[in-house]
Amino acid sequence: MPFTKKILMPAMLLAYCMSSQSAFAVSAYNSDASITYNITATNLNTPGNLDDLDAYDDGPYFIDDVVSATSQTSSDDTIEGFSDFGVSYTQFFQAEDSIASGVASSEYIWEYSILFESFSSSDIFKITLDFEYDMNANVSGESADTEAFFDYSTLSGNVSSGSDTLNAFISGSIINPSLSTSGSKTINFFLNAGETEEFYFDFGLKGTLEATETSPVPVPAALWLFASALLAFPGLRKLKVIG
Amino acid sequence: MKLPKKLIVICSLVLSPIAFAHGPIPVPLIDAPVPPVPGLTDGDDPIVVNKDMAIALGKALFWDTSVGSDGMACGSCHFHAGADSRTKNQINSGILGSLDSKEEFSTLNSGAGGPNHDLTLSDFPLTQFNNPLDKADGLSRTTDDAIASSGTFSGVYTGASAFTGTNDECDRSADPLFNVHGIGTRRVEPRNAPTVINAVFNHRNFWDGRANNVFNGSTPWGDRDPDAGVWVKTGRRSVEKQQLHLINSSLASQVVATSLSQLEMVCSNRSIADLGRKLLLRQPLQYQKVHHEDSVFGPLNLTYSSAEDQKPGLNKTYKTMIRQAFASKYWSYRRRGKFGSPAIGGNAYTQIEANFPMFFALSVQLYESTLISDQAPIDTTTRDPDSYFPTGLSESAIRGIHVFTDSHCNICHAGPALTTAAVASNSALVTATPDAFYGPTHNRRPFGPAAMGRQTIDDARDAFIFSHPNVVNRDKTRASSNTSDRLLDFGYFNTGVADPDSDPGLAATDDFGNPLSFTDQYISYLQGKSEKVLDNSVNEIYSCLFNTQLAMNLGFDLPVSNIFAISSDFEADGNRESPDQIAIRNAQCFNSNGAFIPTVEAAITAFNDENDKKLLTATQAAFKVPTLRNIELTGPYMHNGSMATLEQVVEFYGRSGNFHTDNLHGLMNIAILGDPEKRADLIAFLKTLTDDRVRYERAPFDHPEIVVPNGHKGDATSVSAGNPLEASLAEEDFLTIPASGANGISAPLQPFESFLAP
Repeated sequence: MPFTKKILMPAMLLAYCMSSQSAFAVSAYNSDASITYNITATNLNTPGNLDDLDAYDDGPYFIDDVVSATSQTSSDDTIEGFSDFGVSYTQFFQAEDSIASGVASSEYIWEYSILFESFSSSDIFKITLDFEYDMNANVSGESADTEAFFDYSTLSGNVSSGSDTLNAFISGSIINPSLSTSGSKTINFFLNAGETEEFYFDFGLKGTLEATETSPVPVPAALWLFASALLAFPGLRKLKVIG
Repeated sequence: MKLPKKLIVICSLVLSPIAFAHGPIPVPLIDAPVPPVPGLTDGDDPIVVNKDMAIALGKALFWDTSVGSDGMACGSCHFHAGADSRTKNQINSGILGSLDSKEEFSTLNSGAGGPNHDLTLSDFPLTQFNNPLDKADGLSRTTDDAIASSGTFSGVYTGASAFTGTNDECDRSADPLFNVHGIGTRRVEPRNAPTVINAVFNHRNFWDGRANNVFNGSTPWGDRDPDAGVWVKTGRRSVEKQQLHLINSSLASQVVATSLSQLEMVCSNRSIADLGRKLLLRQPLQYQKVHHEDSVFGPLNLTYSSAEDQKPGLNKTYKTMIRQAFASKYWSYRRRGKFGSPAIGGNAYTQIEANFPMFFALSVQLYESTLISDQAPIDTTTRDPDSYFPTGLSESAIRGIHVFTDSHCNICHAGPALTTAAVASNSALVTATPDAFYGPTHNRRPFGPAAMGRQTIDDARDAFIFSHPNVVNRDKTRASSNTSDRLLDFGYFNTGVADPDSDPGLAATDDFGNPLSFTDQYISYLQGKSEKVLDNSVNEIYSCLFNTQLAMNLGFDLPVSNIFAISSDFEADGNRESPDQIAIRNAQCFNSNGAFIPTVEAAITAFNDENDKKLLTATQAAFKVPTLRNIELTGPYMHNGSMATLEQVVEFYGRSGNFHTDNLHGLMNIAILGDPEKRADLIAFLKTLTDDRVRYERAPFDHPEIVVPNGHKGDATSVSAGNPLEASLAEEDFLTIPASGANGISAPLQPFESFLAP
């Protein structure tokens, strides 16, 4: 479902823009982000015993910080919440907007966290978090800017943290309409007796659009670049290790 | 023992050191110390992480006409050798003053004036005497009008596109003052636009010094503004406002003032965060051609241009440039809601919008810090290895330097930047520093007391330039023949250019009602009112470095009217701070009397006694001493732009200024300029201060294309309504300044007077 959506929605956006190019300068964005993660835990003192380790997730809390009145924006997500160690979970987030005239901005943030808590008085737990993430950011039309971002870190800050941001835009004569990125990371940390730790994943998808309705505009060069990029990007996507 | 001492004291009171002064000679700017800004690009946690990109950002913002609400960029008033050479619609009626005529335009010598007047050579100087070299023959003409810079129509801001268009949406109408028969014209600044070139050396900026030396992150007022600061991401999902304290950053303080000026650039109700919202997603210089060899944008591959085709715009958005230039904690917080909202309504600000004042100000400061003109003949000439006197200039220019020093121009126009307003730089230069040298390769000169030349003594001392950067001096002022001793801000002097009531200059107050001057704060310091000492440098004024002493321990009580010389009335300077400070401040003294200031009680008594002369000040109509570098190209001159030619300036000094008041600086009556040959020699010297890179707009003085409003169609008596911005405003003419690249332009910039009709 998420993958299909990733391919189909930009394609639909492209088709819409192409079909409407002779009437208005439709501006649009469509961006998404996803993560697949797997958490394993080991008791270094009593192998196999995870009775005194509690882990649970919180969220994702969805924040639609900005939705301008004129926009046709929407967002979607597919959430597989954490429930056990050693299992892969995927979360997918998507947002889009298009506008034929005027201005529109929309901003969606998902804040997600997984909490680890040791109730042991002596055992040390080693926790390993593997994740892969994937983001796509696409714009088309007259004037548009979209950002997709992914931030991760621990609460204590003593384990690695990082972020990645995609910024696709059509602004003046600068055209950067379609971007994608992906990455993976393995994070190990230790939970001493009685300690807690919290791991954050934040995603955001934002878009700002402007379009004028007063005069028909030709298909901008951006659109063709956008189209070619769309056709190419599944093959171009490469895995990047971040952090 | 006492008698000779008394004689010495009395002599010292009668004979000012001025009479013997020679002072600094004009010295090179090559490798002169630029005042450091700790924490900006250095240290463990620098604000700017990519200086080259920050300079590029600053250059784009400086020249981008989308920065203003109706087409004004910083560069719109600083496009010609860093100054403004326009001649039409450049008159302000004197609105900063207190005269009845402050909102009335004068008829100038040409028979016209006011909004949309096209200045002529005959209009200058604005204050004219029957004999230009002798006031005694009578004043023939004067005005409180100022020749400055045409700015904005202004209006009330209602919005702006985030992507396109130069102009904001504003509710605009004809200004009640700036109009021709009710048809609105652009407003005009009340003071002349000084050059931005070498402005980095100024301790404070603006003519009245209101651009604080300390940049607080968001406003011009430095530490005076407790609500100022920047938003810093402090944790995973946390952000807080923190005070910023960047010293030697008055250029940044200046930017945040100018970018809110409804005379210069913008409509009301538009914050700098709103400007951020307007610009962040945009292509910088979207509608302005950028030279393919631009010295900043070219090496960073930021242009689309080629030798065959100069194209507009850069290839990164402002947002991208900010993210690359500045540390992420200033822009990476993801949420909104903590940073306020626009006055006009709409989405709450983001962190990058809320911090746009800092990004704007610091990047422009970094760009302007590259604008150092250190390749003028005065910089590259050979010099005598001992005195450091220039030896390779023309005979006339050499004679001119003697005229310059004999006339004591050099006491105020001192140091490499030729201004005592360059407080920190000048002090650093006269501080002996291991392995520190400046000047051309063939005549390197060590930093130290003799850095600015040495004749009988170290010359810098004559201009009261010491290793310790004193921001206040006590000096001779003059009302007609009566001299007095007054405290004044170092580098800010009343030279009698205009009626002192036409513009208070340094005697004005800030937005909170506090005095701009360090002097008035020092008066508060002396009276023990520490809460009124707002700029920390006032706590570090060393009384022993004053030209005329404020308090003296003679070993006996001497009841004089102008010095605290009764033992119960003074205490050791530094006594209020610490024993260490007493020792430090005494160590600065050249006399054996030691460093003293009045006691709190004595200071209060003196301050409240209108007949007491010990705490007199000279801040009224005092203005920053401007640099003389490139002066040939940066007319019109003075804070009010009242002189068009260097000849007029020299004549002004030859007649000891225009207006004599008790705040007039004491050196304003000793210029020796009656001889036309001396005046010609002085001007020949002044022309050795022009850097050909400035004259030909070569790197780093190259720039993008800029289209500058250049008056309105018609003249001062008739304009045409129908401006595209609003029908009640006058149609405009524009001046297109083509883009230049690192190799500059072929036709040299011309002096201001060449643009004036006879």
